Amino acid sequence: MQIFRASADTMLRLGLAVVLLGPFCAAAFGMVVVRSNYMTGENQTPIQPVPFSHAHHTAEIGIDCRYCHTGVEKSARAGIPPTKTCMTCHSQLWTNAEMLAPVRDSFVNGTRLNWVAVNTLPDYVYFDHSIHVAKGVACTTCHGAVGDMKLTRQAAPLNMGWCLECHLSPGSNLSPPSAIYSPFPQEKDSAEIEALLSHYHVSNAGLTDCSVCHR
Amino acid sequence: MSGAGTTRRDALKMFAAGAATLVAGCKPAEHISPYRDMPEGMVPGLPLFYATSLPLAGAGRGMLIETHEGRPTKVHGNPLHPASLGGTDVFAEAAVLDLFDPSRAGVPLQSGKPASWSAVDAALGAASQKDGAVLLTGPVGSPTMARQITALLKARPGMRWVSYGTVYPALRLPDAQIWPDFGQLDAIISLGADPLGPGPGQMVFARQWAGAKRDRRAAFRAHVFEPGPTLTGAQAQRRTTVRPSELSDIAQALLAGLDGATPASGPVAEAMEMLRAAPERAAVFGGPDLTGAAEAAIMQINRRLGAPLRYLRPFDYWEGLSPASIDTLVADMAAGRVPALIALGANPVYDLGGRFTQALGGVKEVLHFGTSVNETATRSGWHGPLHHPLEDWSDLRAIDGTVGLVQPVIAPLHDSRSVHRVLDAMTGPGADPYAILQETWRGHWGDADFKDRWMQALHDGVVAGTGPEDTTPKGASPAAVPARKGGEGIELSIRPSPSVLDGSFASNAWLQECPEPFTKQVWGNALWLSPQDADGMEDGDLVQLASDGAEVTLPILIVEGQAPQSGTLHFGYGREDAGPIGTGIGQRVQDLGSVATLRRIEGREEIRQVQTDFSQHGRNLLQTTQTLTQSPPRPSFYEPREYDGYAWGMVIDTDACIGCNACMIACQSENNIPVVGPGEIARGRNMHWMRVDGYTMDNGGHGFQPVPCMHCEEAPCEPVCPVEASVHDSEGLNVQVYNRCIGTRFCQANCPYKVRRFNFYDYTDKEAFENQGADLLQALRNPDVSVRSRGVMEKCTYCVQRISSARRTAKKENRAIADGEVVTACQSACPSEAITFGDLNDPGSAVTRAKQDPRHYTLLEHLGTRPRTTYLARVEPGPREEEA
Repeated sequence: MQIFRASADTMLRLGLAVVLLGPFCAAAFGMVVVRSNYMTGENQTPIQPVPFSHAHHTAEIGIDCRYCHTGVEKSARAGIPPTKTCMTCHSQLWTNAEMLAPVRDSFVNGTRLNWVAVNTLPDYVYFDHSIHVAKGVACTTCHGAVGDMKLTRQAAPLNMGWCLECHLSPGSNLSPPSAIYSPFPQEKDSAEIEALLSHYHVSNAGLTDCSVCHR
Repeated sequence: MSGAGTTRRDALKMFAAGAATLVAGCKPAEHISPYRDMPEGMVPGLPLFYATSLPLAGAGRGMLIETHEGRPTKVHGNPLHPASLGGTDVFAEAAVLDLFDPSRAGVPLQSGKPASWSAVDAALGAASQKDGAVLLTGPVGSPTMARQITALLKARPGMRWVSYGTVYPALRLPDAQIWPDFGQLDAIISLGADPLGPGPGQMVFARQWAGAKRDRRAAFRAHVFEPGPTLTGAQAQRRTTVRPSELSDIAQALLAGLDGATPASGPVAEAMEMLRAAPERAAVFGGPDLTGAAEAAIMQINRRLGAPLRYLRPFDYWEGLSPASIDTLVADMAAGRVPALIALGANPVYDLGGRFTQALGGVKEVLHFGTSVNETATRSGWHGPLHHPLEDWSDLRAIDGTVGLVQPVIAPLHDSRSVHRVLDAMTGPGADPYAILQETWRGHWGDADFKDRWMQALHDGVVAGTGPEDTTPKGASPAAVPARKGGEGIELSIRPSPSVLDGSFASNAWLQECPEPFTKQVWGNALWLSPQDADGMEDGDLVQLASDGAEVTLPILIVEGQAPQSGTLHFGYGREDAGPIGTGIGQRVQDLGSVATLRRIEGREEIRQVQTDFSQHGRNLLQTTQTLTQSPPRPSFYEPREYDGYAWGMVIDTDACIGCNACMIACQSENNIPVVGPGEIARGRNMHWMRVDGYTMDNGGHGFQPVPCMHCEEAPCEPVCPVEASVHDSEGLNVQVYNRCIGTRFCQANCPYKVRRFNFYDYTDKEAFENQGADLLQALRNPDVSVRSRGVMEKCTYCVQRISSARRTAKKENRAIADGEVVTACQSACPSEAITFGDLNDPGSAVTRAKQDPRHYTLLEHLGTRPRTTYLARVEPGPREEEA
């Protein structure tokens, strides 16, 4: 007596395929997910208390990055400017603009502005802005073309693989001193790379030691 | 969640809610909240350093406080301050934990209930006006406080000021501080003095002692007579154990010897010989166990020897201000002659014990001001919380007389007040401590260049123009300290604890877990007995000590080097109100007299020790110049490793190490190391990255060996790690990658030096001991070091965060890291400069030179691990016959 229908054979083969390939597919799916923009945050644009436009402040009116991010050459952190820095201009300009109300509030009442961090690293990663800009890594290399960003978004995945790409071969990510604080990335030809590496005394020696970023 | 009321439907709902939270919570938004105005000099991400002074037993020690965005995280020594000279001690290192202590007093209390400061002020004003009111303080080392007390006593003629001390600096006479010129001293005879022991002089004496030893190795000799081992005894070339009562006899014998009498042969005759051999370069130091007559004899000896000693005005002596004695106060209190008692920054109920507590019943109004709700606070009608010294403006004299300013490094965490404001509130409005302090110095400097001098003093941490002031001691009157009673029983020597001092640090978990140097006991005290007196008892057996009507039951520890028929006890334990950390740890022993009867009683108490075996078992772990043999390098199958750039290494001079543990606490503070608590210690677990091993040496002395990670070039921990969490970096550091670690503990098992520490629990946060997982303590963490979680192995990193910081600075300036630019936390703390660290590839570096020292050796060299951390052998003069 025939218990199974003819299609049972197909079902069995399909089932076997799922059992054998399923774990690989699941693993692959997981790896795709952790690299996805959803997980890395790349290209995400958080909502901020004030819709600050880097495009306007840098590319359009030409304020240097360091006017606000004062720590970038000295400290691990570039720093978010204190309210007072905003008010150097905005006590004169757009003094009644509604979108600047939180800034004025902060200045008058001493409360702090609560920006949402766009680029975050895990707490066990010790990234230092100052050494990167000193060694020729331009702001835009990691932060993207901020001159185009009406609202600030995360321009790079900021995961370890992405960090290591540069720590293994830093040359192609270096910029000449004049372009470090430019709001737009600058094209450079491959001939320049060697010159930049020697100009900044950069090599990849020791750059992939665990202790460089983790301690 | 598995409660009886949970239905299947509820469980499903919760599961769904949990899953939704999980998805939504994958990337919780992080916020950045910038300042409104950036504080002056602040660059977020860079630490700021402030010079200040921290009190110990009333005397100041100059320190530099590292702050990160306004959070003090680390205490460093101030090289400009004469009581620190750049080093620290355990108490200074642990001050930041005291500041953030979660059990600190938060609000004023009236009879234990929250009250307002205005109510306290009213009560304080009324109390101070009562005729016969008493202000009770500890030793006053602050010029401003002395000025305020002087003014207060003038304004309130009915008021008396009483001050008492629990711990005095070493080499302290009642009316003078002895200040030896170690540069001129060749022979030291110590009769129970412990200048290298815990106290406000430890750092400066340790630095000078080590310097004298290093500079004049052939000439510098110390002979210490003492009942139980002390850190000074461990540093002496010769040590003789005597009962405390014999010390006074030795002083008299030495004086008689100078007069021409021939002392009997033996150690005293040797000591006499030492004094005679070094005229004008010898001195006798007296300790706390001497009679007044013996102290007078010692002063006479030193005068006749022409000893290179100065007698300085004590840090707590103020012209025209003399405190009444505590004994009179207790009698007056008991007789009801004290209507109001204001205890300011002192804890007399614990310090003075039963007699004071009983007498307290005769006082109507008791007000207590202090940083914690301690035994005195709970028995007072009023309690007002005081600022921690890191929150306050003040000034402090060091034991040599130099004044350092105290400045706040953080706004007060609680509703507390400055001690100066409290004093001011008795007669005035309660002015701001900043104004009160400036007024003191305006009085000294005048208005002309006040601002410049003020800024300079704040910047340097020392006030220019202050310093040692010579005085002529009247000399102790022979009757001042009566002869010790003889009689049945054992003689006791009761000393401040090297961990919690007089108990004022009892709520500090770092210090409770900081081992006593000789027995490595943590979280408690015990009676030290000589092997002869133990009489079949073992470590941990309980005994009852009875003397002067006081009885104490505590466990014993058998200690090599304890004189027979004597016992050593450490006070500072047995606190009743010291928060969750300090309450009920150890036994209070202050009420015992100098002689006690000893009775064994049934029962045992487990003693928490981090080292239990003090023998080297012939393994020569702590080498001496007597055991050291220069052997050619052993053959090895390993190829020599080449390091192109830096090659970090460390050399520890075991001869300079005094065993004070400052390095351990410095490491704990720098590297966010949690405490584990007594329960975990009993299971053999602890987290100290740096430990100090102690060994009984062949000649009966005691040696110390600090052991951090060896950073072996052929590290046994590395090949056994299945996930490559233990790896080498390109500069030769053996690094531990926390995120890779899966907790197999293979590395720990394979480490011959046993320096790896495993997080069996989440010691820092969720499973922390008592209150040490408190949110407030997150402010204490060093932001440059990861906080490790449960299941992760950790160990000394050579302070890789400091190496990295120096490397980045050097790279930015396109130069190499200079020698001395990287200073590890242990190295910077060490008061005797025993630790050298630097680049082994730099032929001129201090560490390279140290590695070429004839005393250089490698710990467990035969294992072929090629450690980067190596040692300099302890100098032992060897048998006396050879020395001559």
